[in-house]
Amino acid sequence: MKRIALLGMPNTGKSTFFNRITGASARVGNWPGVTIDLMGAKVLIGNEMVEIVDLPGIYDLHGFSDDEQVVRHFLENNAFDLALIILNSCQLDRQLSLALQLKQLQLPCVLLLNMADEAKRFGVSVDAPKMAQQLGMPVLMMSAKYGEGYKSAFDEIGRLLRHARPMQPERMREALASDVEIEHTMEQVLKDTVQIPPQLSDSLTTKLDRVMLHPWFGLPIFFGVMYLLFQAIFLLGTPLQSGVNWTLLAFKDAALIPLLAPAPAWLSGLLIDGIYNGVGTVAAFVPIIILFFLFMAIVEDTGYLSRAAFLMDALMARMGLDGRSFVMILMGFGCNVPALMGTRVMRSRALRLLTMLVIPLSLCSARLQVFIFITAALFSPKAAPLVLFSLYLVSFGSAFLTAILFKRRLVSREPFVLELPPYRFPTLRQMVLRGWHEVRHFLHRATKFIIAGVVLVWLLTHFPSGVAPGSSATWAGHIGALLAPVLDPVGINQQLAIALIFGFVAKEIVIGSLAVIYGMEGAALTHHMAASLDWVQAYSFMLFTLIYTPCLSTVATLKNESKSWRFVATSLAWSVGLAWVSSFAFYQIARALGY
Amino acid sequence: MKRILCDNKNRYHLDTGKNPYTMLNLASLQPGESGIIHAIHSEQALYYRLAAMGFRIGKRIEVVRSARFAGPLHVRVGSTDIVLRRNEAHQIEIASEPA
Repeated sequence: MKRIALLGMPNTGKSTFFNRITGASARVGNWPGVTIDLMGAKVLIGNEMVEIVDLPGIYDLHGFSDDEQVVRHFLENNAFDLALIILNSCQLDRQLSLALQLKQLQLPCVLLLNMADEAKRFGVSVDAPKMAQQLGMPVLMMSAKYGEGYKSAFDEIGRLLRHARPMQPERMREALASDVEIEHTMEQVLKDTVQIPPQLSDSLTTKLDRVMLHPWFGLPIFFGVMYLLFQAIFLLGTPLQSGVNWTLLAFKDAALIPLLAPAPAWLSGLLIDGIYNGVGTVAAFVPIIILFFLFMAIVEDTGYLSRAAFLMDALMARMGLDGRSFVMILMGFGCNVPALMGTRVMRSRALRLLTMLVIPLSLCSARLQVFIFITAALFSPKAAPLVLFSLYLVSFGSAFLTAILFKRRLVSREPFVLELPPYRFPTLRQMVLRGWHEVRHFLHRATKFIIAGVVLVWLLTHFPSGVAPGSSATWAGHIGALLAPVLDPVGINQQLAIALIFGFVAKEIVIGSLAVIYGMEGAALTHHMAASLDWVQAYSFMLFTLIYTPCLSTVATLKNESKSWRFVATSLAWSVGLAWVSSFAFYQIARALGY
Repeated sequence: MKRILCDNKNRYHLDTGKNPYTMLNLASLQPGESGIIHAIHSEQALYYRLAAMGFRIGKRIEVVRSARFAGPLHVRVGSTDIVLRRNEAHQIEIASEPA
């Protein structure tokens, strides 16, 4: 099969192009010479299937950041037929150097000048045929976001592929010539083919920045925007959540129970009380999670996160981190795993490790489900949002505490240089694709972890046979009794202890397993929990869940990214220890105060 | 003719061979002020990164704003807006324009 490598600088819309050309079919895969996962997809171009690989955005091939090494190692170890270089038409004055570096390697290249829409708006004009002539490679203008020029680019790629001969990795392993030469060529090509207004200014961005980056109001505005986003997510998500709950319950009563009536009791128990209730309780949160990721994606795509890095850098510097670390913590609110992988842009190992140490304390969307569920059950509708907000504060607080305590051991002198892209708003298409991606991700996790988790919990709480389900005579009861000396002082009872154990695998299992442990779902489950727990126990449980350890995927990612078991062990020991101490302090103080 | 010079501390400098005007570094510019990049005294990796972001000798650079509490600077070079810390800004030598 023929293979295309996608290359480009950050902020050029490379991923937008990748999503457009692959639809929603991309899969994460492993590649020789590269220790991390890259997105790849098989696409029908012309009349043959072609594999497209999305390489990380890089500034140049000489770079020393992990991202840049990933690209170099990929090029050195994998044969491919065509390199698609994606550059931002508005920033050709500097980005052309990457195309020239790649051309120097004598790769079969095509240059895609993306963001033709922005270029038009900013008054940048490019003479593409002339540039193609001077560079000796095809040059195509397009807008991956709006699709303008995409069709002709696609056809041209198909045409070129038919004649392309694969680039063998051996030939790639050759030295790069000096930069001075590239600079000279670049100036010549730019002078002849690109016209850029002397003062390139996006007046909308300038005006917005004047408000959003205001010296005194910038940070309050940022936190205000975040607060409004959360409000919007719950305002839109809660009705959807009860809708899904209602549908699942109706389906169970109308179809599932009559259908399984002839089956033996243990089988219908496993299928209904185990899998259906467990997965269903988790599935009810999917609308909120989709909305959450949609809003995160919008904030990310608008370019506001780089602004947050600018605003927060001075504060983060005092904790041994930098503005990018703050952005990673925010990304961690979605999911810790991509946030951990995002630290690859940092060159200094100390800064990377310190950032990776604090990211697992970010209150991710899976933990959010647990907290929404418990706050809804144990607190009044008025108090619930405040409780949730306090958990976000604890998340930030524990991250900052961790950074301050460990910064002496992980000292870095990493320079902080970050691009501020102009404000952009994602198209509906981009948002739908992103939402679909999240649904698929959930289904993947559901099949992999959640079903297995709830089945295990069901077995533990229903065996050995002949004892009352969920009682202290079951296997789960024995485990709970074993942990009681550690968890009793923090107010976590035996049922919750079982949920905590499985929460180590994935936090979604926590609520799924609560449904299984108590043998109920929906409103019945929340009522039962409200009756059997008080708010001090519930809050202590949430504190523990927030801090103790994110999930198995995060632990695996910590290992992959740090390549050190010692670091993973430190991270785990620290977070479990901190979780216990926080819960213990909270529980004992609250009880001492008479609550 | 531009040349890259490497000093004994393994730092890279670009020498433009021009007559220096009044020499400042980027960190000493106030928001709203601009100047011409004269030299970049950074270690190699940062030097390449800055070059890829458009920091080239002879280009005009403007300080758009600076963050509170000795935070980073927001600068504009050509078509690109960039945030960098004062520490890095100190390594960028600016020739202020002759009045």
